[in-house]
Amino acid sequence: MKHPYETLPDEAYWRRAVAAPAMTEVDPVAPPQFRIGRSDKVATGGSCFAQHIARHLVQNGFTYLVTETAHPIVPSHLAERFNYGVYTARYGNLYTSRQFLQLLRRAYGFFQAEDMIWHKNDRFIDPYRPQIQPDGFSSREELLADRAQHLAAVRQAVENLDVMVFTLGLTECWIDRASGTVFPLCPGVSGGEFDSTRHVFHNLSSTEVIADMLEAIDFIRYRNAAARFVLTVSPVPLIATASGRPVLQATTYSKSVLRVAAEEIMALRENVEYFPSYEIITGSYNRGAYYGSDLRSVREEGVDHVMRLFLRHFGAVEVSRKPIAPSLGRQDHDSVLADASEMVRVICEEEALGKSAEH
Amino acid sequence: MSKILKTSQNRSLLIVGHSHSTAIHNAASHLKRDGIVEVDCDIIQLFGRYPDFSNEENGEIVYNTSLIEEISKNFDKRSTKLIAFPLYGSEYYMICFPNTTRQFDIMVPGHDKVAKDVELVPFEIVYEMAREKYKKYIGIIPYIQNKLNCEAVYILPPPPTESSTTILNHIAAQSKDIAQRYASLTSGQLYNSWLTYARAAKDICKEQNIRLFAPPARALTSDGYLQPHLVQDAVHGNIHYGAMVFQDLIDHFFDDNT
Repeated sequence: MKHPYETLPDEAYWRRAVAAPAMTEVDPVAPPQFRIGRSDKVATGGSCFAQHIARHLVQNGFTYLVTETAHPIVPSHLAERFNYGVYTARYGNLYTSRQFLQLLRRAYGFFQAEDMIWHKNDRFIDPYRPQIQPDGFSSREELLADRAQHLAAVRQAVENLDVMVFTLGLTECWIDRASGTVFPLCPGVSGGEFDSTRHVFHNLSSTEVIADMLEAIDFIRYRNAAARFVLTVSPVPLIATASGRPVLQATTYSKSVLRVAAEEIMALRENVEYFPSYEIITGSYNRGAYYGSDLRSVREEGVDHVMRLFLRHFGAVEVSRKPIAPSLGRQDHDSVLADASEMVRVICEEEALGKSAEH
Repeated sequence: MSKILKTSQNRSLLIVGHSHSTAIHNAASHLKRDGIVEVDCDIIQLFGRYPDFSNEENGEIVYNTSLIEEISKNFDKRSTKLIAFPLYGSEYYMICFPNTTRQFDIMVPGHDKVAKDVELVPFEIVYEMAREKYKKYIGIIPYIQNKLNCEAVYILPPPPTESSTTILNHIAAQSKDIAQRYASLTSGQLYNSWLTYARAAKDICKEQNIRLFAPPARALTSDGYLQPHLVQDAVHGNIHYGAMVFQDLIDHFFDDNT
């Protein structure tokens, strides 16, 4: 009798699936339960890596759902500066599962902390999306009005999306002790004032991430029963950690929790798929070639590999591979630096942590 | 005009600008013709002749040389005391009628009256749009000031009328489709747009040390709109409004004016 390993397909074997193929041909995607049609309305959210998905969907003729578009009077360069179209609604990066869940609950009036406003000099910062406006809002009234408009756009997205692609980014977060509000950025970094009696650090466990995401999925499906989900884990390491552990360990913990959570969520709900952008970028098969010289930013070639496979498996679309510079690799700093301009611009509040620490 | 204005010296004012220049120039010409003032007023109407008089070349703003020559010639022709620039000024109005059904309003800091149930466009965005539009044009004022060693000022356009009917009638005369689409537009929306553009112009003038002439306070209602009897159409002041602006200019720049 044959033992089980004798009948396994190539994809189950490391050498055949990972070590032997050319770097750009490695394909660790399992056949998904569903496909995304060109007319399916796809919403995006999550950490900054999620921004690439929207861009590539649009480029390949898919329907990217944007419910909070810039007004037509606004020229495109200003719309981009003010973060319109980066995600389906102008919520900025949703780094944690708790932030995502609270956004949904706030949109429908189930989570009230609406007096939450930060200040930076004479400007007003929305703590839920602190970098959504380059210099914050001009007045408290305008911030509140814009927030109400934004939450209406979130509701519209929830009720109209066909597929939600959500990128799990971080487990570390800062919470307002009184209200339970989770912030995308530590208070004081990009507005507001840090108060150790009020603001507490929390590192979400896999149990918490799973519970948050299941509640978020159920919350959306209660209002939109046919909604399908694609979960990904951001391959971008933490820029800084407040966990007390070295940042490399903290990154491994965070990404491991998110990866485990994604797997379990997929097992617990129908029509939830995991897409391995994390593995495509971090896998040892590419010898770090998909990271920039800071070993954190993802190079365009990496994004291209991720999106090629995403479109192949979910969209049944074959996108030709972009040529890769022969000298790719972390040893070759000159070429990496030369290619820096090719790195994709992504809006990342988390970057503010790095800037804050450097000054 | 409420008072008789004269000057002891035959000095001249040159107006260089777009559509808002006309009311000031017409008023000045009438007053001169009627012997009420002795200030001559010439005009270089930019509308149509110099549609885009300012361009960026290699990171520097350069101005249309024909326009600069024309201003210089006019300046030399008489002993010009002052050049007033009512540049552009109707952009705030035009952005309120885009080719879309998405009406909008702007919540201007310090003035948070906004129309109900319309989309809000962040103030900072419209302010940036205004800055981008005005910055390279308003820069011609210090350029001319330095070149000709003369006084030069920027004239801020008047606010809109408070009458939404007047605004809609004005629009209907241009396009019935647009008028229908914007049937519920209020003068408040136009006013907020004007406030935003006015703030951008004021800030640019302050940064570039340019003297700015705001609409005379006596020309405005208590809510800041243009007084009904000074309204030419939805966006322009009439000759009486022009006379008020002109009076302010000669009060400030021409001595012996009573």
